[in-house]
Amino acid sequence: MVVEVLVLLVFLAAVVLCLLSGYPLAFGLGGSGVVVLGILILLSALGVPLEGSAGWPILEATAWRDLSPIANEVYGFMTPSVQTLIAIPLFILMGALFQRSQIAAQLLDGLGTMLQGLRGGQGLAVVLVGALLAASTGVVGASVATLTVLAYPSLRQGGYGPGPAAGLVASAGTLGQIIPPSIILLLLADQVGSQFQVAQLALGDFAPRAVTSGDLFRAALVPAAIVVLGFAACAVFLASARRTPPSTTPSTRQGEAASGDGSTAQKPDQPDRPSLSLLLSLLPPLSLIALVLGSILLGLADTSAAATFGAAGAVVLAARSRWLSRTALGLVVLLLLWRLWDVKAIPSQPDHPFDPSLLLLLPNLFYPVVGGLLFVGLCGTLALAVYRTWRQQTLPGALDATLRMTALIFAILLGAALFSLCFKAIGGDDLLKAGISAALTANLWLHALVGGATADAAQARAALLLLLVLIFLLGFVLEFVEIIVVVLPLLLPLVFAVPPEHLDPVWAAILIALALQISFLTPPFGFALFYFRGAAGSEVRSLDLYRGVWPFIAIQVTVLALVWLFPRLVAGG
Amino acid sequence: MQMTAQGALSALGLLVMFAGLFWVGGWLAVGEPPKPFAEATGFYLSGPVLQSLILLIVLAAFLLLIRSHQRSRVLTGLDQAFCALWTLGSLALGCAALILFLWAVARVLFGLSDWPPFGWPLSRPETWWMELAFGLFGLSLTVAIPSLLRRGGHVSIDVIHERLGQGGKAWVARLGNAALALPVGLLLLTKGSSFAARSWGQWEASQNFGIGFVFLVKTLVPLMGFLILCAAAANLIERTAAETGTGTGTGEGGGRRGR
Repeated sequence: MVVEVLVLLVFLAAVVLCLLSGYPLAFGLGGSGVVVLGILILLSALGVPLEGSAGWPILEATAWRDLSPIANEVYGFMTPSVQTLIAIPLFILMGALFQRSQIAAQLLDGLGTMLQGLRGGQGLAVVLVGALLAASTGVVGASVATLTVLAYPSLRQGGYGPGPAAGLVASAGTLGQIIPPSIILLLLADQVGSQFQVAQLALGDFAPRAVTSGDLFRAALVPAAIVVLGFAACAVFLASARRTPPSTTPSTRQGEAASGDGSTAQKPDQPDRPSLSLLLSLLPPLSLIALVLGSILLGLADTSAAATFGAAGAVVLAARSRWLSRTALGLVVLLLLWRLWDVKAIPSQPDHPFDPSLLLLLPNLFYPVVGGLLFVGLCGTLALAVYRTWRQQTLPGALDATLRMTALIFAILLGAALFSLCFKAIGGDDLLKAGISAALTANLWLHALVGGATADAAQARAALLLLLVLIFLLGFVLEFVEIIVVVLPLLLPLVFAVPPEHLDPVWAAILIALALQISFLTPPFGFALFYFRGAAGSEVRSLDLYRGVWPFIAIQVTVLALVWLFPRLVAGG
Repeated sequence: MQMTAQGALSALGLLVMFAGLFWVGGWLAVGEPPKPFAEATGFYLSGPVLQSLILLIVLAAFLLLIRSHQRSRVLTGLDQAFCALWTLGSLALGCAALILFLWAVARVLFGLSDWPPFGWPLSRPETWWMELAFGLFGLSLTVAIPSLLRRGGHVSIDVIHERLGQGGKAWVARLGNAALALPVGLLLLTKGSSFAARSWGQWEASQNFGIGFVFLVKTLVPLMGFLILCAAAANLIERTAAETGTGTGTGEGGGRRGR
């Protein structure tokens, strides 16, 4: 056993060293595993005794073959078995288009104007736009960077201190991790769904329940709403505590001027009071966000289909042409009406007062011809929007940003898959599971603390609590993608080792998502903090930023505790 | 990033080199392969081993024998090729998004399982479109991940790195490219070549009316490995050139400081 543990420790130490060295994570993660495994195989071939406690060799000379599935795993990213993952670049594209076409800036401007006169109105606008951007993109980096450039300077000028302003902006940007459709929830659905199915098959349930991204989106709504309300209350409290005067200016125009963004200088002045035209200008992006979320939550479209609608809608909005937007909206409404009014069903209803197919005398063609014309019109509108955004350089830039972000995420997935194979090749997964099981069995007080209907359920809940603490700690040094694809597969089998009536996988997934969201803000390595520093430059001191985020971390921890204590807060929990 | 004619030609050259290596790894072998469940007898070199040997010899010869100005030209060619491949990946991603949109409209709004509707010219089933979109998405990933490695665009942890001096950072880049990225690329190339060659052997097509060129999509796996190898090698060459004062490359060879 000593040799096995020693080998595992050497392996993990090499991985940690490579990760901290500053070389790209994806290759550090996969490459260190491959190199250590190669060295171990070489030592084994040279006759160095690497035997476990039972006298069995830890590694065979053919262990290299254990890495063969990597080709299949990489290919797996490209096949329809992972439809959830294809939604990631589409949501990123939608967010990138919103950011590059100034729609995000327009949202912040509009809400800032609407909330002027209210104490803490600017802070409220930042939280609301953070929530809306989250709902449209699900990408923390995009939200934090956008909010920092647009809102931080105006918050400072509006009377917020450097710490509270920085904390507010960074925290609002992380809402994308818990508000659907978040990338975290998409990746979690993939991991939790597959791990839960494997665990249930092992328990003898040969028709286990499927955990989909739609389930997680629905389940996250109430906890996300509580987090948003908490952040909004905190923004108002911070403004009141500093006796910040009610906001009198729109949020972003000052901010953009202060940030030196010349593109906004050409924007026409907007009225100081909310006007009908201002409200109308907010409608298109808000409608698109509602359409994307609504179609998923109502079950009208799956995640990838809704993501394509969102991306296509964002292209039309980014074209910045009113008649294009109106035409697209009209066509979509007509298409929905056409879909609801199924003419094919009319002949089977003898009491129907009017048969529209008589008008054309070609009843069999009426339905498809009208639908086809609407579809051609919609495609034509989209083609025009693509042409305009391409000429404005908005679409190429957005595609470039999307490809970069997608490649980052999938490279880490690839590295994690390689790491996982190497870890399993040296028997690391069995050792880790045995160790945690032994620790959980020994610590009966933990079982008593977490509760549970049976001893198994208590053990599973204890494993879940351990996992949440581990995520919180790992969040100091690792990114969310690595935590999801590297850490979760190692511990989730223990969490799901009970039937779902004792531990709901959706509830567990939402708790994990909340813990991950906290990890984005925890100093000194919270990812959102780095995005904020990157966008704000040197005008914010790290200490101010760290002080500023603590109230928001406290809110997130409180929501996590509430969801743990009251599982019904999670839909289906 | 702009695609130039020179870049397109360089990219084509890379693809031809990959085709040669893929043939070696997938079909070539020296000696008699051992029988299953039997001790190996005689001399035998499998395709992936030959592939690795060729690559290592080429890289070593390049680093040791080629003159500095020729290295710079190769580096420039590689960078142009990666620029062209990035543009290709960006377009492939856009096409994949467009196809997915058409598929979603056809399925969600029209309830069609074929598009254009069955009986029309060029009508293809839903699975075909989906698999085509995934193939294009796979192509974009295949070229983007190595290009990002060359451009220094991947995320890395900055805790220790920012405290290192220039010499330390150079060692991290050198060791990282040689000991981390090269093995990953080599592994993907060798394992992927066997994986894709089996698919080519039977001209693998999709089941359930999907695409008929699954073997091409599977070839993206070793291609990604080959491009990662090229990006890591370019970073190494650039590092060597920088130390001898002849560097002209445009890559960064490190990571984007993410945290």
